[in-house]
Amino acid sequence: MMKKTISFEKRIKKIIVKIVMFVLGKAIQSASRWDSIVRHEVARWPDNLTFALDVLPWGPRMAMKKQKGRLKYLGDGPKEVDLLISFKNIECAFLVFAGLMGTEQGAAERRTIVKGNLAVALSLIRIMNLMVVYLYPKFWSQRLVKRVPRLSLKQHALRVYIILIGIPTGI
Amino acid sequence: MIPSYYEFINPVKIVSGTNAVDNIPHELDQLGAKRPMVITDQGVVMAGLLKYVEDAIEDSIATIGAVYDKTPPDSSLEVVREIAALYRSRNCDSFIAIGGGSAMDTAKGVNIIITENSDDLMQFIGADRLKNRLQPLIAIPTTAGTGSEVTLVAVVSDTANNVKMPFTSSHLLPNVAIIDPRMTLTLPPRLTAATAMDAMTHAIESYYGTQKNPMSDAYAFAAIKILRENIVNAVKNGKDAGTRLAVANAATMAGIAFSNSMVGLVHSLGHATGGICHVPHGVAMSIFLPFGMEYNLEKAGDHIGELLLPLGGSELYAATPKAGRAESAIKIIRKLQTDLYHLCELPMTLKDAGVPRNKLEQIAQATMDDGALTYNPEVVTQADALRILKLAYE
Ligand SMILES: [Fe+2]
Repeated sequence: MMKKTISFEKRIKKIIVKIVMFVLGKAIQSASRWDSIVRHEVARWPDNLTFALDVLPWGPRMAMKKQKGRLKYLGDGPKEVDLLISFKNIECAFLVFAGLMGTEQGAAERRTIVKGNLAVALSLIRIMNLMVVYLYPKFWSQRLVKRVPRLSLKQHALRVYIILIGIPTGI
Repeated sequence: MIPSYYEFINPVKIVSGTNAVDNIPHELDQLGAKRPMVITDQGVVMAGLLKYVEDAIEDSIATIGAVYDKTPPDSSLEVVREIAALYRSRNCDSFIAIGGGSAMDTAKGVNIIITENSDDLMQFIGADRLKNRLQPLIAIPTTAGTGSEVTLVAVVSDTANNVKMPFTSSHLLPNVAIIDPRMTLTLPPRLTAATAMDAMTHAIESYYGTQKNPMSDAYAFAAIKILRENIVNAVKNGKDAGTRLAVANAATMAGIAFSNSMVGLVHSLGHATGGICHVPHGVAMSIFLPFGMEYNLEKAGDHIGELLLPLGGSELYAATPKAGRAESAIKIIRKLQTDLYHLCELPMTLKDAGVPRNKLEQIAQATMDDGALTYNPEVVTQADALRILKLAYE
């Protein structure tokens, strides 16, 4: 299909969404190694499962894969994945990725289409909600998730680690 | 408050009232259909309900192309394939589904593979995968509960892998829903109570869920009032056609409500309990409903409180201060539960429903995999689910 000329504003929004996808992907990758809640969620996923979040019709997109019990960020990843969550357009993807709307609110407003393993989708939403709690200050995250859990001391340390080391290195 | 954004769809023509089934020929004609296939189950045949439909079509230019009357309680891939082969070999051009959720879901499943001309239902699993308009489907509910006659979802079991496959698409909405009191007159008391409580749960959960919107609210609110006024009488006087018609109408309205504002925790717990311990869906709904409402008091207390009006009537509503309305609404549901227990022994606890205590952990875990949790106002962890299951146990 021929690409059309897209407004400057939408292009900027796509770049921002792509950047947040990278940050989120690396944060989840790191958390799947160190965070017990995320590890517990991922443990129940099938091995080698791949999932992607994308924006219709042309992206941006991020994909991850379960490898050796952990999640690995794959960038755009393969075309065929086991779970695909698509945002209907860049405007609604921007709301969620720019932290203006929670993931579950987005789902409730039917701004996404889910294809594939639904149980994993729910598990992924729980992981994303935890990332929201880690990456945003509480006064902001409480607008995006239904309940902000009390973080343990260990989780506070992990949160700092993910922001300073996990996201840049993916470790 | 109006949500900043929502979607609502209900294109189903409702044909309701005395002898409504006799209008099938006209509806078929309007849909351009001449050879409908009837999909139903043995319960419907035994109760003599199929006969009403056959009699109606006999005196018209349409002919029944085929009848499949062995739909199991959980429709499966094999059954869907078998019926599709029959449909093709008899050159049918439309569907009439008579029964509870299973007959309607089966018809929807068959309709998918007939329209897409494929034998692989699996490739259409999930949301919004269907791009083509399906063959005409007329739905005739006989249980007054599931609301499948107005929902855009079909659930078909993959029995080999023991998973339930959901299909959702606006194309799956039936063209016509026929609500004829004759079709529910023979429903036994306990089944009447259970399916009506399922409808009640659809209306209540959709009214306080995160997807609620002014359109779904209107249907939910009206459905709750009709159900509250008629459930007990439908159980007591099953032969009262007026009461049956009222409950069936409310079930359809509740179906429209939850098809557009998804249910929540009560259904997640119910799906998990049904999947693991085979507790009938309506029974599970009746058990969990007050607990689900209580659990959401903090996030959705105002909305639950508004339900005191249809549940308790205007005088009680006016006499109850705002802060006490939600609790009072929950009390009415508990009272209804007790009444139904005394009338027809509808189980009030998981123990009564035959759930072994040692399954609660497993049910709590399965609850976490149920999509309806997303639309529950309050977040639910596995520990929360387990706590509620223990409360509901005895
Ligand atoms: Fe239900």
